[in-house]
Amino acid sequence: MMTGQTATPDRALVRIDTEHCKGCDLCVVACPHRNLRLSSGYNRSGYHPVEFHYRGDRGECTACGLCYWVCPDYAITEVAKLRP
Amino acid sequence: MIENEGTLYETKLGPLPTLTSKPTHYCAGCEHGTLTHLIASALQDLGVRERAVLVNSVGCSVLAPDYLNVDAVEAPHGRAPAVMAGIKRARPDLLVFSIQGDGDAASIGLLELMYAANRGDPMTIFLVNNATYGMTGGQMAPTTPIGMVTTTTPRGRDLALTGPPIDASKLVASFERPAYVRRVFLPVTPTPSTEFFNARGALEGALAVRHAFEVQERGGFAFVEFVSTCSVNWKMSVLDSKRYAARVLAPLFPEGVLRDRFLLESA
Repeated sequence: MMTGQTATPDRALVRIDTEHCKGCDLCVVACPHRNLRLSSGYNRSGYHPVEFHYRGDRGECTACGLCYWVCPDYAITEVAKLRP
Repeated sequence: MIENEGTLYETKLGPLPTLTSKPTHYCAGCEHGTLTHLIASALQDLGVRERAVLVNSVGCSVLAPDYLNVDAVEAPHGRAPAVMAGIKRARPDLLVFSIQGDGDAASIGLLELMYAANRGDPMTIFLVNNATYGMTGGQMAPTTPIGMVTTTTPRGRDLALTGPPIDASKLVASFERPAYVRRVFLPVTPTPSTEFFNARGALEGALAVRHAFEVQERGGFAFVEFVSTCSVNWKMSVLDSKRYAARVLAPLFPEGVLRDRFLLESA
C-alpha cells in the first residue's frame, strides 16, 4: 500500500523557488482557487515562503499561470499541466 | 517536463533563460520585479536577447542588469534616452530599451525624454511610476498625488506650493513623432466585495512590453508607463498599497493607449 498517492493524479503542478520568495502575498490573493498559501516555516532570508497545495479552498489548480505572471521575484518557476 | 510521483507533467510556463538566477534586491511585492519578468518573457518570445541593450537609470531600477541576461550601459540621472539615441544611430541593428523610474524620467531626465520623443528615435522606454522616490527614502516626486504624505511633504503634497502631478504619458503623447504611448496599471487590483485581487495588470503589461519592442523593430518610438506601488515608502502593508493605488493612482493616471501608430492594439 502506497501512502500519499491519490486515486487520480493532480491535473496541474506549480513549482516554487522558496529561496527567491519574499512572502509578499501577491500570488496568494491572485490565485482564483486559493491554491497557494504562506507556509509557517522560514527560508534562508527569514521570509515565510509561499507553498502550493493542489486542492485549495475553491477548487483544484488549472495551471492558469496568474501566479507566474504576478510574482515580482519570479519565485513561481514552473507551471505544468498533466500530459494528456 | 516534470515528473512527480511517477506522473509526467508538461511545462506550460517555465524558467526563462533571459533571467539570471540572482535574487532581486526589490522589496516584497514591488512591481519592478514583475516588470523585469515581463521584459525577460518578451525578449525570450521575440528571440532578440542577443541584440538587446539595456540602458538603465538611477533609482531602484539601477540594478536591473543584474537580473536580465542582456548587455547593459549605465546612464544615470535620466540620460538613458540620449544614450539610447546614440547607440541606435551607431548600431541600428541593436534593440535598445530602458527601465526608468518617475524620479529619473519625469524629473531629472525630463528634458532628455522630451527631446527623444520630439525626434522620435527608434527606442523603447519603460517608465515605472510609483509616485515617490523609492531608493532615496520616499521623497516627493513630480508624480506624487495631491495630499499624499511623503518624507518631504509631511502634511501632504500641497497644490498651491508644488503644483499638480506631472502626467508623463500625456506629455510624450503631445509630441508628433512617438509611435506608441501606453499606460498600464501594473499592480493587482482589489475586486469589489471579495478578498480576491485581479491580476489583469500583469497580463496587459506583458502585451504592452511586447508591442513596445515590436514598435521599435518597425522604427518607432515606444513609451510605456507602468503605474506601480511602493509599499515600504508609502508606509503601508503590501496589500494596502495595492488598495491605495487602485483608489488614488488609478483615477489620477488612467490607463489606456494614448498613441498607436502601427495599430498593434487593434490587430
